[in-house]
Amino acid sequence: MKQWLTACLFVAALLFLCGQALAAQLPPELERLAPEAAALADGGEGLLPGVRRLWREGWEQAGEYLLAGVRSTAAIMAGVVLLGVAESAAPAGKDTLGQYVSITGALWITAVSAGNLNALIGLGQQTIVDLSQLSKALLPVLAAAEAASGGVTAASARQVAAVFFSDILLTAIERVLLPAVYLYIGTAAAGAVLEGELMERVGSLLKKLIGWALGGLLTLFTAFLTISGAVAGTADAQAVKVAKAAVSAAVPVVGGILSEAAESMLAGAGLLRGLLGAFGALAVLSFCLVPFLRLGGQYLLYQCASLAAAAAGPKKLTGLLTALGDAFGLVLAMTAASALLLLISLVSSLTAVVP
Amino acid sequence: MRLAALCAVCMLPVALLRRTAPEQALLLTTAILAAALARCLCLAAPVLEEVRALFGRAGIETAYISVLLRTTAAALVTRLCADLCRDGGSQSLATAAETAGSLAVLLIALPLLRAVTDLLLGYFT
Repeated sequence: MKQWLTACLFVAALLFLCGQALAAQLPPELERLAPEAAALADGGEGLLPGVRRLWREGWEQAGEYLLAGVRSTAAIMAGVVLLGVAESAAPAGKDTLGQYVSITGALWITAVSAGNLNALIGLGQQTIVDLSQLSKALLPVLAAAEAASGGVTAASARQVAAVFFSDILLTAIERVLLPAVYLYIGTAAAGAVLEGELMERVGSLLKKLIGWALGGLLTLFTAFLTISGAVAGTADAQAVKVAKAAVSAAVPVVGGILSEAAESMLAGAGLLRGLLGAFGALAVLSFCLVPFLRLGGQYLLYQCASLAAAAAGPKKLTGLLTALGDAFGLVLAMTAASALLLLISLVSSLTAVVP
Repeated sequence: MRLAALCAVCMLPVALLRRTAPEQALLLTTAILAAALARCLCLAAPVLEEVRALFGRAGIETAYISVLLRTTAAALVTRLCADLCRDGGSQSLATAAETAGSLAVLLIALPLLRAVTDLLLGYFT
């Protein structure tokens, strides 16, 4: 009977050891969500070559869009110059005709930018939804790997916080912040038409509110992770020590071997954590790189157009161009906040001290 | 350059005629204005083609290009008409011309207003 028990325990120990090799593979769900990142992570190329490859491919993809953006911005600048000619015939604010020409100018710039605004805000929104789906699939797997490494309490705390804050961020972006961006565009267009600076001030306030909301949420999330990680990490370390001692003492003869096997399993889980971390970083990059390049490029193009148009165009219209560029910047900030939330979760999970 | 010279040269007879026969001065001004406008249009045609081609290459809808050019034209024509009326001594006619021009610009801009409204309300619907 004792021999049978020893044999069973030996087989169990072998399974634990083999588990290390089996565990270091990505779950199929993650491979389906981000196949490109999965191929790079599984290829064993490492993080940096993967990043380099993604950067090259992303740049090729975004280059075409950036060229189209340059063309459309050049056309908008030409339009601003023509509107400057119209406004020289009917100076804004002096009579009714001047006011209507000014209104037409503001409407023209906003309408011509509408295609870019719709496409890029939609792109940012889609990226945020994709990141949220990725976090919902990746974080539980990462938490499971961390829990298998011994950090049960820390993993659950981190998992709950990440999902909670990710949901809050997504809901805030979809229900409040993106509508606020459209409101910002509306106030910018209205500000280009109306006399006085009321609309500019409202727009400036909206921009600040969006920035505060994003920054505040990320700060809260990071603070929560830091505090809960410090508390939970100590509890986990104590729990693992107690478990090891209990196994070693309770199981006769092979207790020590089992304890060693368990340590090997912990190392396997750590390996999986590393693989998941590399996959996560590559997946976030593959999701965000092209939208970042496009949104950032468009933001810069509009700022440059505003600077160039300031030489020839009416002042209010150049202000409108700056505000439209800022709208791209706000969507970029929202996408970056979503990506940052996921990356902070990843980094915090990877750098967590495991007992 | 030639147009500027023409305007400068004709200023003297217009000023002289305004004292003796204001109607003739106005007619002369109108004639010079028509000639200058015709010449300007001839000169602007290739530039406008270039501008259209530039907008076309940028993928901007033809309707928007048309709105921009029509607005510029309406503003210029209205200003010239209003100034002509003022030269003729009729402030009320000048105001009427400006009101008509404003309405024309507003009508031309209506498709833009629709597009901007669609953009701003599109997300919520």
